[in-house]
Amino acid sequence: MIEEHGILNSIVRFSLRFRGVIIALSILFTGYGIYTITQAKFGVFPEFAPPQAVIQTEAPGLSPEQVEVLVTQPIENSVNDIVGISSLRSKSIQGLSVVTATFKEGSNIYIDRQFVTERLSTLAGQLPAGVKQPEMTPLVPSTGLTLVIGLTSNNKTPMQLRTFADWVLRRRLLSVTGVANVTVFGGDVKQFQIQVHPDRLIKYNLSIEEVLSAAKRATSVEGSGFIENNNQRIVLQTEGQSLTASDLAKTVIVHKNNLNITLADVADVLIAPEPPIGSATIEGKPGVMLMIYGQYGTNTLEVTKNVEAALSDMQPVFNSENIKLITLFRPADFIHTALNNIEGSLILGTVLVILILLLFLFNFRTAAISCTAIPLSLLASIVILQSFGLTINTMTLGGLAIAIGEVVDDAVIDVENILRRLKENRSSGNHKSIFRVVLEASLEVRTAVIYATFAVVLVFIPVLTLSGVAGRLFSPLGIAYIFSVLASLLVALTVTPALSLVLLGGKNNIENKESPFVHWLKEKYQIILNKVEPNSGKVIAAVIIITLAGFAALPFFGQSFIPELKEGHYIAHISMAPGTSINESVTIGEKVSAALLKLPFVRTVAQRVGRAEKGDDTWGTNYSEFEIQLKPLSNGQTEIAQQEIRKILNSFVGVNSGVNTFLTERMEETLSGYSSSVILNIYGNDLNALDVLAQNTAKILSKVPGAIDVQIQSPPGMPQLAVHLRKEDIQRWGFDAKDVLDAVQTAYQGTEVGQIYDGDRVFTVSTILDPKDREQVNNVSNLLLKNPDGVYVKLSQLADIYETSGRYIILHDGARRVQTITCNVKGTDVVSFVREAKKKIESSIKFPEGTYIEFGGTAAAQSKSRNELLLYSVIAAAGIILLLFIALKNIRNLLLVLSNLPFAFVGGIIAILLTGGQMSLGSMVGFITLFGITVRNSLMLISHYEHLVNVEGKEWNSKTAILGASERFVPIMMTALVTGMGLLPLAIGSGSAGKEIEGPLAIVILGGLATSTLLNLLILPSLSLRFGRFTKNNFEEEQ
Amino acid sequence: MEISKKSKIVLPSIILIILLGATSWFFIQSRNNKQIKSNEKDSPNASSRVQVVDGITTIKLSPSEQVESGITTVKLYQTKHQSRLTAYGTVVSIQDLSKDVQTYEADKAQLAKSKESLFISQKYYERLKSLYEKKLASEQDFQTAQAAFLSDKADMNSAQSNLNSLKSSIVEQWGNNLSNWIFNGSSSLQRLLSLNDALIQISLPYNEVNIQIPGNMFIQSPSENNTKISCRFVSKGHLSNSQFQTETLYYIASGFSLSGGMNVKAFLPVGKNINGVIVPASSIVWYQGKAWIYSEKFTGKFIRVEIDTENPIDNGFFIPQNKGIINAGVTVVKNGAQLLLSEELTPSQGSQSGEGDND
Repeated sequence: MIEEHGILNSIVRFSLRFRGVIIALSILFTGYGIYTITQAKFGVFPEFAPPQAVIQTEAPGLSPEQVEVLVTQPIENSVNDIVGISSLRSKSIQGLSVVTATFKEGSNIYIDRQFVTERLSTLAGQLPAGVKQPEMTPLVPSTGLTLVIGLTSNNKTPMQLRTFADWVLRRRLLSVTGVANVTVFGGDVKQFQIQVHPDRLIKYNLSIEEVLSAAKRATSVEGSGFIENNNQRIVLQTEGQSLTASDLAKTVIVHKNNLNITLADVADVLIAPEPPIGSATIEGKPGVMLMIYGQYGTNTLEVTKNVEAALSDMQPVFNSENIKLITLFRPADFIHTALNNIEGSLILGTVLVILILLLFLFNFRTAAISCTAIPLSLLASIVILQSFGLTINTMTLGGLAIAIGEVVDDAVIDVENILRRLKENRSSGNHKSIFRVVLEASLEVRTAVIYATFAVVLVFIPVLTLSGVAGRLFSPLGIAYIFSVLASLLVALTVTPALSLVLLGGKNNIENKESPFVHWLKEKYQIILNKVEPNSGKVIAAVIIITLAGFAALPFFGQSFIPELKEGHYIAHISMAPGTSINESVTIGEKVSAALLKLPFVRTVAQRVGRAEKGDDTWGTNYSEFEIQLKPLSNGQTEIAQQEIRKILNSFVGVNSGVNTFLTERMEETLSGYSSSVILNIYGNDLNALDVLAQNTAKILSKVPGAIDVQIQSPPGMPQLAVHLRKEDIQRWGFDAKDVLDAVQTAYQGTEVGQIYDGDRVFTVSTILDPKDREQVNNVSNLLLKNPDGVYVKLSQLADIYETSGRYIILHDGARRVQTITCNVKGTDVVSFVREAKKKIESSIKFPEGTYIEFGGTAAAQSKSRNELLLYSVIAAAGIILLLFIALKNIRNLLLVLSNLPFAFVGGIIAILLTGGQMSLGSMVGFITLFGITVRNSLMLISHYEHLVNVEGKEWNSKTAILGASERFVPIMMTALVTGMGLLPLAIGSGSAGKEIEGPLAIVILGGLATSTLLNLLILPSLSLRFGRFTKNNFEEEQ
Repeated sequence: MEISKKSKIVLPSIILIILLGATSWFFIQSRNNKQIKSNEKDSPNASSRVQVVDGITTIKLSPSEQVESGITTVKLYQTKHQSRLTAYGTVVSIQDLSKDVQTYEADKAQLAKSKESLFISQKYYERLKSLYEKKLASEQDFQTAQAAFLSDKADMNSAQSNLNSLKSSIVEQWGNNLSNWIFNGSSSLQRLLSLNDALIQISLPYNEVNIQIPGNMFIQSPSENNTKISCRFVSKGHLSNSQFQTETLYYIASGFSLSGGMNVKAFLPVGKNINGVIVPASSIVWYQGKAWIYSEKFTGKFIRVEIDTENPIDNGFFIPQNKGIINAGVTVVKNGAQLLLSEELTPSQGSQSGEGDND
């Protein structure tokens, strides 16, 4: 009996009555959907980083300890209490403070940054003199790196190359739509230098302050006002500033005895490289590297296209300048490959689904009607995702791929029932109008489908509510899936009945012919079912045992957060002892590059050393990163390539190395701030105690099986030369401390005294000691300072100068001092590695009072995600049970529906076991999806039993059970097969680019679907017969 | 005892579950172990290179590893070395010296003149005194002669005093030797005054007061294309230089006419000429406040050795003989010392504690 009123009835009735309008609207919507795709933003992954603000403050000349106390702490104190901050990390290195404020998920990043800006504006007076104004780095997405390019030239000097990069190329690239930042490594930064010779200062009885003062005067630019008369205002433009090194050299310092003593008399005035903070090599030769970052919310593919167009426009310039441009890393390649792979899976899945439909329905029209649900539902989902500002990425496409089966199933159930009822109606002599038959047939199965759909939506709640990177990664998949399923429900209520009426309504349109394949299957099924039924007890027992065995195997599975991504590109990190010079890093880098380039699968290698101005990283000169671009490789070869790269890196002496892919690294950095899967943070106040603990912990960690790339992030042992001023001697000689510190800074750091303009380019002018006097440690003691009486005093007369050991970087986490040890894990899973490491560390190291250790990284994230999944799964399960109870109104039948879950679970477990035994987050989400699909499938069978008893008035016995199962056999098989076929392309080659996360997910669903379908068809009828309650009472009570 | 029907099902079920669980576990574990082993095989990392033998950390490198990483060694050879001080100096303006010479001569002449006057006036006074006592001269004449005598005596005392003062001043300024030249005359002084030679005033470095003054040293003049000019010691001044306020020494640059007032850099050899070895600057790494080098103890085995930094030279350090284990014949790492330090400091260090051979 079908209710004549109600929303569903009204919708279906409207759709049937205005079928032309519905079909026209569908065509229009399809067109709009296709247009939306052309406008969509594409990316590999959804934005997985939480809102962040990175504050950088230049503090020239200050040691890491001074930067920490004088710069970082005031900034931390200032921003720490901003509403919505979830974590605050900082790094203090020589001359630079970097504070990273991470905000709670879902907060508006622009408002967050506004808050930070407001706080920073109040800091001006609190920071020491000479420290520059804190600045926020440009807002870039977590995978914002758009392109890495390298410049080399055979006839350009490193300085000419760098000047071209800074003042021509970088400017052009920054003007490209969507580009947020361009950082430049390598080459020599052009600077006008006044390299003072102390001997000559003595000769002319001058001090370095007098040189500084003269240099500042020579480079100052002064405005001059204007002349105004009754007619005009004429602007005065004065020129006289030194514009060349030779001009600058002629600057008079003092005029004595009718003689001018100029800068040239006491110093070499020349164009020289700025003291570097980083360097670069391209394919083993010195060069310049540019890292181009896209703006927040931009489409990486679009920005890459724009950047490449700009570079292409500049090609004549490169040619005329004899500069070679090399693309070192192009994330868009992986995006293309990944999206193509997953799009291919989507298309192949669709084709397979269509074939299954044709095979089962054996009717072109019904298959066509069912297939319309695919584009309509998926396009609807894409339109909604776009309106939410989400990108089209591997996760959303994965969600769509998973949904294909469900989407088409909604329509199939409808069409299959309509067809069946139309056939019945025809065989009974066309008692009812076709309109009526289609309406009733649509509504007949719809209630169960709606409940099943909402159950699936509920199932995805745990995925949508996941926090952290996991949540940000998987929720778009869930959203895409849910919207597809909901859209398919709407299509099944509107378009499918309308099309069915149009295409199947004609007298000749219904062929009373069953698919031979289905016929054959049904026969076999009947035979098997008849055999199973008498032995149902044994079969159920066997199934329970296998299910329990599956659960028993669960604890032995390895666990990983995100599988290895096949990006075709690796980033290798090498670090040497703190204090390693740029030259040494470059020298070893050139050798490493040469060795890597010999590998047959390596396309390009480029090295960047240290850090770049306005860059995000704070690495020292002992640290290098290599961009290793691979030639196209198969999945297995990629694994071998990584091993070969590691082998080469390990063959170099003194090189502590790590290899990762870009996206994996970005995810790990987002999780913990570091590009490693395991993070150990040791908190405490005493830096020395932290250093010792870190050393000991690192030693233990490196012995834990599976540990690779063990690194202390803030290693002690940075060679330092301490200059400790003696107050009494400073007073005795008539100095004050600032005079002495300024002189030391000028001598060894250089003091910027002005700028020189060359057209629209601006170069700094710096005063510094000549390079020879800066080489030897011993020379520092001999630095001469002139007191107010004109007496020259050596620095050693004013200060204790001694070699010591310090640290390159001081880290804070939550405004607490922290020493961080990172490592990667190979050959075992991260979670069990961390368990083992914890055990060993706790048994070997006694942590002094006030110090404690915390594990972070992907292990912690996975543990958190797993717990969250479990918690929300329980909540979702409760919701589903209530929903199913409303649908079935019978506890026993509800339990029957749920009984299929363990069946599905064991299939997923077997699938994981056969494919490597790694339980990733994708697998877990796969289980959740599987449960949704399984619940839906069993609900359809149980509700059909209810229909047979309640609506068709059949007695509940083994005959009815077998009849119901036989009738539902085709829909159940079709549902399983269309879902399976939709996912099969994802599962096959699950390790290939783009499928790394969804692959395991699809494998779990396929495995689970296979067992659950088998058991749904063979066991559930028996279980239903034994334990189910299908009486007319339910229906009557309902009435 | 009859086994119940339930037991017939439960028991095999439990066994089956255990078997399946164990199979899964073995399957996964064997796969993981295989991966770990292949990974270990492919990674000749720090733990296999750094060994601790009898508490000494040794880095073992094969010849190919040394070549690949650009590590080169050098054998230290014996050499002689004398420490030297670097000091600043000024070419003395000859005017200052000649002015003192002239003043001294003038004062000396003045004294001689005063002495002569006194002698005459004294003789005259004594004669008048005798005549006056014999009442042969008037009292007025006697008193006049007495006054003249006393006046000349005072003049002579004054001239003597002036000369003494000047001599003190000269000795203070120029030191004993140069003063003697001025007081007694010297051909060397004449060469200086005739600008055949140049006089250099050296300000000894701070805290270097008790050194044995070297008889010879050399200077480097910025205006003379940094040529080195040999100088011989002449005198030690008793006044400090106003620019540096340290002790001053005078040296003569024979045969050089340098401009007065010109500042020069001086290099003074101090101490004895001793035997030892020179460690190149490229061999040295600073760690924990000390300077270290890597010595090749056995072929391909390197140990870190602390070196003495008391004798810095232009391109490294001089290590005196028998001071530590760095002596002639020892092979040290010339290029790549920082790589060895990095290797030693990787977290894997010490993992092979107690192992290693003793060849």
